[in-house]
Amino acid sequence: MSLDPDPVDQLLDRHGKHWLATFNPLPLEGALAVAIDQQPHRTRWLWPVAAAVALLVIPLLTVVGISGSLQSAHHPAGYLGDFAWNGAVLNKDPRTLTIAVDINRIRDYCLDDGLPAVRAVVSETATKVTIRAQAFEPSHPSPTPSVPPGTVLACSLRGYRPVMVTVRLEQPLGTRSLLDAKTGARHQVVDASKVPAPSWLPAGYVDLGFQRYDDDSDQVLHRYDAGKAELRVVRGHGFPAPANERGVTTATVLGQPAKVTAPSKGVTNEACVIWDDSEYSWSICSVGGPAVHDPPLSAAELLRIANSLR
Amino acid sequence: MHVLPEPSPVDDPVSAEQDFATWVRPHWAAMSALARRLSGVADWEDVLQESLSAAWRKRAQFDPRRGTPRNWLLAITADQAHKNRRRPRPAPLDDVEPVGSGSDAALNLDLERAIARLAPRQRLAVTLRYFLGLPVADVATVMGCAEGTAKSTLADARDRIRALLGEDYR
Repeated sequence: MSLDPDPVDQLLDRHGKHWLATFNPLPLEGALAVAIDQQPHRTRWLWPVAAAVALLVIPLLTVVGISGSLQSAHHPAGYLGDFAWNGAVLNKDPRTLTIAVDINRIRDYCLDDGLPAVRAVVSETATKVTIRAQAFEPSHPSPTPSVPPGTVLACSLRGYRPVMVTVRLEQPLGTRSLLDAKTGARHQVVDASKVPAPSWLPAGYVDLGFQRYDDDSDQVLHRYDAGKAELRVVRGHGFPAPANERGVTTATVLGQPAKVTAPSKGVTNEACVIWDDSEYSWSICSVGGPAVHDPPLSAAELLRIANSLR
Repeated sequence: MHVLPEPSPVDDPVSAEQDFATWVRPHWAAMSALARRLSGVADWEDVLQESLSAAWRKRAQFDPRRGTPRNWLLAITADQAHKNRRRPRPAPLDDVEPVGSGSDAALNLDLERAIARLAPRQRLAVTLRYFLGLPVADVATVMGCAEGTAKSTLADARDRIRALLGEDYR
């Protein structure tokens, strides 16, 4: 079997190398002089400014102390703020919604901050469902003594990955509006029960559920995890044909012509089958683990999965 | 590995500055490229300057047992670029510099537009992996996440790019 990379991987690799070859970095010396010179400057103005701020803030703190204690009753210890969210998916259980909370949208993410906890609070009426996503300092994993109904706690991974939070509604969403308490935005929902899913998978694959990239499209990602490998089923629009035909084989999926890309031995370690049906484009990719002995699924297995979509 | 000496009050300031310059120099091009890729054309030099200043201020915190100088410096650069971005927004199209000519230039422009529409974490992962050529393990270190998460983020990014390019390249 040929070991060609995924076409998008190949395109990015070629473009990135070309870009870097033509990029001219700034000279280090000038920047270094400024960097080293900044500290004394900062020290010179820091103390007068700090003193002035203290003179203004201390009386103010005294005045607002009582209202501050009242506010703390509304916001439990460690509260960082509310997050905007998007990408709502109604799971096969019509009472269960998954949303994507982008922790980068509320405050600057610091590499030293650790892992913020995200809590989603749901309020429901006959006509709308409002979800409020709140963030808490990582040292307060349980921000409230008792977790109210409709609340699910989740912790983000470090980095910029959005936190997927699943909430359970008291009643099925139905035709009610879905609103973000932070932004007031009304979100469209993709109903996962209407998205075909594989009826056959190799042993050991666990369904991680559906997620969406954003609200802009109805592209849906369905992920499965097998520990050392991951399976990603994407329903979207207009996936490009592989740019490099070498190592690409043709096949048939559910009566439609499909292309199967072979796993690469490079970083992606990924094999895919891509095809279009009458309404959507589909890609099913198997991503192998980091070790050499964690290969992705074979073309035959991928095709069997693809042909089992129901 | 060159280990940055611990600064102390008795350090000769000139020597400390020279040590720091020697320590940073091999990674300066990568820091510059990362700042440029993650920031707008009007901002990237400021981001780079702030990154270097932060590295100078925090140099005593570098622990060679926890990672390489390159990854530490790139993590600081990524952090500064993120702080510079008040809210997530795609790079303006006039930030995109076409590379190549003819159909290559058109494809590269579409690719840059697709990269600009990635989520910040995906853009960071793509930049580290494809534009700076880092191994996935180092991408994970700079992003402060597990290697599997970095791979998954890269796969997410490629899926997104695949979909965005597909609108014009069916």
